Amino acid sequence: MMAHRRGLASPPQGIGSFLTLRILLVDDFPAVRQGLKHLVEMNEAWEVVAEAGDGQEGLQEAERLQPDVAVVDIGMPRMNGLELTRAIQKSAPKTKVLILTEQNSQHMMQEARNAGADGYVIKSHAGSELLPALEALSEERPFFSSKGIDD
Amino acid sequence: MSERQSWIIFVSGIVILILLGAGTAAVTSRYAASEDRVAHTHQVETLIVRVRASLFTADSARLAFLLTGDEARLQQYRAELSELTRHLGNLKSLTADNPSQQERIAALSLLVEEDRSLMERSVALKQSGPADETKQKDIEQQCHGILTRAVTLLGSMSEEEARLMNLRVGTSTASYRNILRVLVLAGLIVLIFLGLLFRMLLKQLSVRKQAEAAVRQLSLRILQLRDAEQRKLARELHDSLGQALAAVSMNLSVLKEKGDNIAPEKRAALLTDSLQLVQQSSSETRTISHLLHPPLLDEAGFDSAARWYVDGFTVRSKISVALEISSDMGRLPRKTELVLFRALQECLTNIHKHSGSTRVIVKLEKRGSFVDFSVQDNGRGIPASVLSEFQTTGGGSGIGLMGLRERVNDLNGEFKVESNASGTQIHVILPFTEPGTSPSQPEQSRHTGSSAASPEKTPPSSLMKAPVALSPG
Repeated sequence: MMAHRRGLASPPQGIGSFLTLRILLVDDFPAVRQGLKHLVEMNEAWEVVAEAGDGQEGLQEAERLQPDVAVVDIGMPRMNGLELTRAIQKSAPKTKVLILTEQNSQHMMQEARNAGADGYVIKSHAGSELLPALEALSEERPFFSSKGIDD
Repeated sequence: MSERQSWIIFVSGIVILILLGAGTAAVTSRYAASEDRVAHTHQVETLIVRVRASLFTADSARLAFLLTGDEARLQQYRAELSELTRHLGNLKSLTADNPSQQERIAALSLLVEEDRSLMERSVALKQSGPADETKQKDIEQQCHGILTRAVTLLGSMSEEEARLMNLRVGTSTASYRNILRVLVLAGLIVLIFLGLLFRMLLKQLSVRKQAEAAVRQLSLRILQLRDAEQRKLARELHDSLGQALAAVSMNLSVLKEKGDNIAPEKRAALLTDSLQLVQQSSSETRTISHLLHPPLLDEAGFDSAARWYVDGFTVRSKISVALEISSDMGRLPRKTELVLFRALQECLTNIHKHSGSTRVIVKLEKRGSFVDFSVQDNGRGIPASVLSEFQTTGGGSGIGLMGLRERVNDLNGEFKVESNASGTQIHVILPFTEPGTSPSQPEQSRHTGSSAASPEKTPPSSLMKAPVALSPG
């Protein structure tokens, strides 16, 4: 983990950590991955190292690249996000998992916790929540936002 | 078993029972009459015996008087004579219906008169003085002759009555047997009718059970189909709209956060991406909504809606569709157009899913007071077992065809499916009527925008059910 934190980068405007962060995006919609990438790249120290379009592919990339954070959708073909979360814990134990989904129920968030996720962000709130979440995870803090969650 | 058949069986049962009742009454009264005749004959026979007895008793009483001169005997003789007259009178009236017996009675009466005058002479002779043996003997001989003839006559009367008796007892027995026959027949007929009715009842019950099972199955399938439709719609909404909107919101967040601190080419890329996503969402929304219920159908009619649907279908399925709608068709009532459109959707969807067709011909023609809508494909046809089950019980096929048939029946139309290995042809024939008195107001409903405000537009929640005609409640 420490090997990936390559010291200070030039600080971006206002937000974000100075620590480098290697990020894997797993979502079956290219437009969403593109949007996420735009968001992530607002912090110049952060890098999207790979993108995957389904759970299986996501797992392969996680094993191969051992990223700092995997941003994982829940509803995906081949392997869903909860299964992927469990699998990543085995094959890439140091990778933090941030669930990013449109499922806004308390129950689903609990499911994600149980599966071992480190964070949970509602997709439609990604614009404001994704960066704080990534920051929290990079500092080893869990991030389960209540924003957009229905009880 | 139709209601009419039940009535026929019931009414003919009643008629047969009435006939049997009348028959029984007739046979019984004939039996009673023949029993009366038998009793009558018995009476006549008894009287004959009495007449004979009276004749002899009178004669012996007279002889006793001649021998003893006892007045009591004379009294007895006279009493017996009057008895004899009474019996003869009775006999005559009882046999009034029998001419041969009447003749005999007439002859007998003469003999009795003759006998009586002889006997009176002998009595007078005795009373007049000393016995004149020769005269008395002469009278005695004559009396004897008369009595012998009377007895012969009475004998033949007896024979006649015995003959009649035989005849009448025979008739009576026959009548009795007839009664038994009629009763046995009646019993059998009642049994047969009960059997028939019982069978009808059982058949009715099993038909009803089947119908109930079919209804249950239908509603179950409707629910399943609705679930499937809802799942499909949920998926479509999620995939086409949710994801695009999430992506746009991310792009906008970046623009907002960065403010002016963003490279112009980056800003342009974000804006282009977002614009494209929004346009794509807008078009997807339109497609989803229009597939659920095309506004063209209300606003421009079946013709335009069908052309729109067929164009989209051809793009999606790569199946070529020839759409032939008679030019004089014009607008049809809203309900009719909706059923035709659902028929088109259902048929083309089935063709795409199951038939393996490459070409489809869709026709809508006006035929007298009907419109004939047909869809013909060149696919592999519906499997014979599925088709025959659909045509006999209505089951076997997917809910789609059943639902379609229900819609068509609701409009008093006719729904026909013909299918073999070289293709399937489906006909929907609906009564043709001019559009009703409440035409849609398409321009208004389109431009007022708010879908909830316009009753012409179905709200989204019921749109989900729209493809299922039979959704309960």
